[in-house]
Amino acid sequence: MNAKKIAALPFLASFAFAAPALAFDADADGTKDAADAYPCEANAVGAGFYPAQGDHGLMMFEDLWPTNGDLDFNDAVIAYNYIYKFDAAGDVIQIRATFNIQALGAELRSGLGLSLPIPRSAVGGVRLTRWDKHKNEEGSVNLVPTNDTNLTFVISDNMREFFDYYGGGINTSPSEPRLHGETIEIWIDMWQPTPFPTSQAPYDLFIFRTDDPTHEIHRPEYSGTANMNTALFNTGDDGSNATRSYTNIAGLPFALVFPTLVPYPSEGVTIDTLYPNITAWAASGGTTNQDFYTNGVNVSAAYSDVNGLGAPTPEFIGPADLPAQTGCIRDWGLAVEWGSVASRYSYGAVVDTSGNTTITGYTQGAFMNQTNAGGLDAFVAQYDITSGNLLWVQQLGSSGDDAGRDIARDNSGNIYVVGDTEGTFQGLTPAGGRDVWIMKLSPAGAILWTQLFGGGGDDSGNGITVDGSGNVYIAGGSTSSSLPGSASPANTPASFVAKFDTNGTRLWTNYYIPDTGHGSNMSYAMDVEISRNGGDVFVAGTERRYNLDANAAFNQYLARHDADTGATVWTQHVGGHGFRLSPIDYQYGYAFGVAVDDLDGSAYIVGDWYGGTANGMWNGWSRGAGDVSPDATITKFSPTGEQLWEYPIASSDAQEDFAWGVVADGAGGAVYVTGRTLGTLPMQTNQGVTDYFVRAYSFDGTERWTRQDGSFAFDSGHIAAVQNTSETGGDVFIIGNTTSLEGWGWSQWDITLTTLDTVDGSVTNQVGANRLHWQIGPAGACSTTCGQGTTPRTITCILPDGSTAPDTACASLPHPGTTFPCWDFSYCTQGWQTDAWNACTTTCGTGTQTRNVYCERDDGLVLPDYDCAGEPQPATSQACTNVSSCTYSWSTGAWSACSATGCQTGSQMRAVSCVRSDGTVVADANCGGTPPASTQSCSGTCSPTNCAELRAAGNTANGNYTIDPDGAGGQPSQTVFCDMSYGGGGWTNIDFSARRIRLSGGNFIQCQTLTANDVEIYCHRPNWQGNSGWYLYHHLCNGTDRSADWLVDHVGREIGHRLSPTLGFSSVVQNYDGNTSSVNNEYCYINGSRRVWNQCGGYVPGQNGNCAVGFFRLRR
Amino acid sequence: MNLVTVWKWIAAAMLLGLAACADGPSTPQTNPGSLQETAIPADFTFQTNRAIRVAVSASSAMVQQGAALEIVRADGRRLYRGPIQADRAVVLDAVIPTKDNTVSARLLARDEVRTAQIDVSSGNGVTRFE
Repeated sequence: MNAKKIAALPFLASFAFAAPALAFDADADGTKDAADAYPCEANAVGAGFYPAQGDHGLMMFEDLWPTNGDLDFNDAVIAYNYIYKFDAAGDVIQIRATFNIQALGAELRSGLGLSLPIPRSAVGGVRLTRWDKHKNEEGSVNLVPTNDTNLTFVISDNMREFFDYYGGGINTSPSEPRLHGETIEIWIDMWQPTPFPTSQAPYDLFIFRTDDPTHEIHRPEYSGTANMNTALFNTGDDGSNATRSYTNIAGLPFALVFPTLVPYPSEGVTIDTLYPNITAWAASGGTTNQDFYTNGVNVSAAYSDVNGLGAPTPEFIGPADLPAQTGCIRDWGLAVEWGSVASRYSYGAVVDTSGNTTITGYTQGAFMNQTNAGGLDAFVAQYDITSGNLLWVQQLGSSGDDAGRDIARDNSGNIYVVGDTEGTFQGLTPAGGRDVWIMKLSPAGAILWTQLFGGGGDDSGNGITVDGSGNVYIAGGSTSSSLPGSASPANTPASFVAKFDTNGTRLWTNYYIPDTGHGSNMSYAMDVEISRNGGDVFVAGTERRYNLDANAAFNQYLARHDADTGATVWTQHVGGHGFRLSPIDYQYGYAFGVAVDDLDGSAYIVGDWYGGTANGMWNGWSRGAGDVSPDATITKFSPTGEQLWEYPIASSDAQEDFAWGVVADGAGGAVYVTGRTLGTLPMQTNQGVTDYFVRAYSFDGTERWTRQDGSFAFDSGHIAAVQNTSETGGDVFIIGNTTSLEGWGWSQWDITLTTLDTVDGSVTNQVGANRLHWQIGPAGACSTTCGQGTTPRTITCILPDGSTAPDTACASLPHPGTTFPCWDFSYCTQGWQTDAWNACTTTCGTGTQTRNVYCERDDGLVLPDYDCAGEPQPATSQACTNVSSCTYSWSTGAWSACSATGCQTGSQMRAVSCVRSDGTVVADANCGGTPPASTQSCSGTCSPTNCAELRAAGNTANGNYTIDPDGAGGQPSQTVFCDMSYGGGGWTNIDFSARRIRLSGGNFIQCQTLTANDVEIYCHRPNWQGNSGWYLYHHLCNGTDRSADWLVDHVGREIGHRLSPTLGFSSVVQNYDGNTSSVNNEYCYINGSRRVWNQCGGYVPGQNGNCAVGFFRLRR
Repeated sequence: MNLVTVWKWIAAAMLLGLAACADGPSTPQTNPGSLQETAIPADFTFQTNRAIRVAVSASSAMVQQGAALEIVRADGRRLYRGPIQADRAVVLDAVIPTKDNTVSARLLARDEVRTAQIDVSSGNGVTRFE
């Protein structure tokens, strides 16, 4: 965005501020501008309106007089407006009448005339301007007054000329599109200010037949001009009499007038159809229903065209307001610079020691005794600040647009101005596109020299400053591929800064993009400043680069240039270099102004910033939720480029805030920021639309005061200047624009100027007046050599006459203190710094952790990484172990092979370890308690299927043994009690106490849990009487049922069966155990006692046994 | 465009013209109770405007350098704007709708705006800012 475009944006360029304006009198007619309706025209002070400002009236005609018509009153419908220009005595200087033909509903051709109740001799001239809907231009026809006592003239012989249509009716048929006729603007200039009967408005506006100009039709209160053919009266339907004319016999008129815009009837629709209440109004003689044209209107009877376009629209009627003022101060923004303390990116002003203010900008019109060369003209004008009188003016222009952008003043009072032009400026040959011009004027306004500067593209001069030797420095932006005296930049648009000597000879140019090595690819300088104490040149502007998230971002930048060569000493970026970048959303930061503190050479830049999303960050400052509007900003840098502090200036209601200008008081005391806000700054009140604001900071960044003020309309403060370099006794000059002073429209601007007390921001308007104040002495040595420290200063009370006084004399003023912050960076070094490691990525085990590593200067300022590139950068991540959430448990491995062979008893081992929840084996102490056994006894691999095998293998001790009854059959091993003593040992005893077992082919099957005391023994009867399957062998229960159907031996072989539940058990017919003993030789254990078979399990052949629980012993 | 086409254009234009002629000057039908059937007072001229004269003055306490006076219509639109000096009445001859009986005067001083409503039902109105 270049300055021109910025200027075109109303919120950027067209604001000012208002309310406490000094009493300017731009036209020196004795009426101050604030009250002068014509502030640019001497002797014109008041404005009158009919029917009212911004409103039109409407006149409707029937054109068949003296014959009755169709009463639709649309044969000619004419909108009208009058504006009077009064002098201080209330006499009329000029009348501007505006007419627009709304409809011509008849075939008769009619002309239009106007008769005013003043003699022709009172009029100096009548001019006409015809406007079409797109543009306005002077008409080529000069009106010729008719021969009449009054000022009577013909506006048109045929009103159809305003439509350039000579066919049928115009704008009365709903089936046709509306035509837009030209607007006629008539300027009537009096010979001299004249009392004018404004009470007779809207005067005698009449029509006449094109083919017979003597056939006039007027409203009833008029009887025609000197040209009227009076023989027509009382012919046809005419009922004219001495009281009224142009009425029919019934008293109905042929013309109606309305004091505002109203609908008119469609073709053939009578007026009383559209306005039903007109009948009662007419019948009452106008005493009732006076609002008939706004109340009870039958809008369906109103004309609207085929597109539904109905009532007249102001867009096509023409102006009903004051015309644009010419030759006056409007339509430009301002900036102020005093001495060379501060400057602004564009429009500027300087204030001399007397308070005279010299302003540059542009005007759409022409200053008094000046001529507009075409388009916008630049100007330089000086005003007496105490009276507001214009002292001198230079209007400067080409055929194109020209503007003054900034202004400076040297120690001798000479004025230097920079601007740009789109044409041949001051006779200089253009370089192409828009060019920069630089001009030197004497204190009295004489042009001493002018230089043009630029390349083939568009070049804009935005800032200018002057050093103590009168050397001039300008800065701006350009799209030219090259500029005189400099190498081409890598890209355009790019910034430029150039130096001229006091005679206008260019000394050097630097055409550049700041910091291209770190991604900048576009820039635009907006302001330039140099300390009054000399030194280097500071340039503020905007540069574009890509942030960490690869989004393009516009950043404010500040560059320091060698004043002798133009070489860039350093550049710093707000939003980039100077603070740690964060990968936030895209952002836009623009710098509009730069100021240098003459005392210590520190620099301030102001501008605005906004991001693409809410909650963005500017320089570490958070924005409010939902706030995506621009915030004003101020940032302070040390002479060596260190960012000292920064603050946003943001309305509390998340509205737009811009800072246009900044000025330092030159004594290290304070800095003042001006701009405008659409909202309300904290603790302030919005006066309407936009307000100007001024905020004062101490040089250490402490906010002193804020003033938000303005009018009901648009206001903006563009720049400040400080007069008196004291900290607490000076004036802050604020120059800006407002739309309120003349109040005629939102787009017309005036300058305002006020002065605020540096102490509290109150309005003083005491320009140039010294006041009681504290004077701050020079700073002593700073307490630090890198960063911010403190320094003592001498504080002296100064009386208004400039003499010193005891401190008690200044007791009413806030004492600034004797210890002040200071900054010294003479011995700074930087190096890598690391933050603490962040948390480990895991809470149990090994992960990674990171930390911030950054380049930091001794004073704690974080610098970009490349500033520490000479040192190895510490690691930013490492492995880490975290056991904070670990748990521990014993882990056992598989048993080793048993050391025993065969069915011998041996031992076996296994691994036992303590394991963390992440799987890591740790010391046993972490698990605590008794670890699981790592050894145990075991049997050999004989795989006994019963106790008999164990006994045979030499096991002689009674006790539990593990047997696997089915061997490789897949069933699990069982622990059984082996009786190794009774009967030679080898008895297998099965615990039935809580199980049931199945015997299958002599194999033990998985037991199942029964209820307490219940044991069931099943066996598989492989083949008995042709049946096969599982059968309940014996049921031991706690109740009475002790049935047993089958008797099998310990290997499941049937040894008997119960014949029937009632007959008892069959006798044992076989003994399958390999010996000859009967079944009764089998034993069981009941409650630990061995019993004979008939005592076992309650089974006794032929009788009921006891229900018991115990061991059932099987012997192989 | 050939001759036939030209002739068609001329014919169409004539028809349009005739239709328009027949439309404009025709005498409307009168309806009972309509404007045409209404007796109009002999001196009535169908005025919707009326002239007024307003005089506004202000004391020196109210009027400072640069004070402005505005006189506005009942609907808020300006009839006048200009300077006002202490103890020197601004007299405005203006025209307002007959339906309006008041106008307002607004005194715009540096720090405030004062408004006074003025009764002009008689045709004249006077007010003073103290």
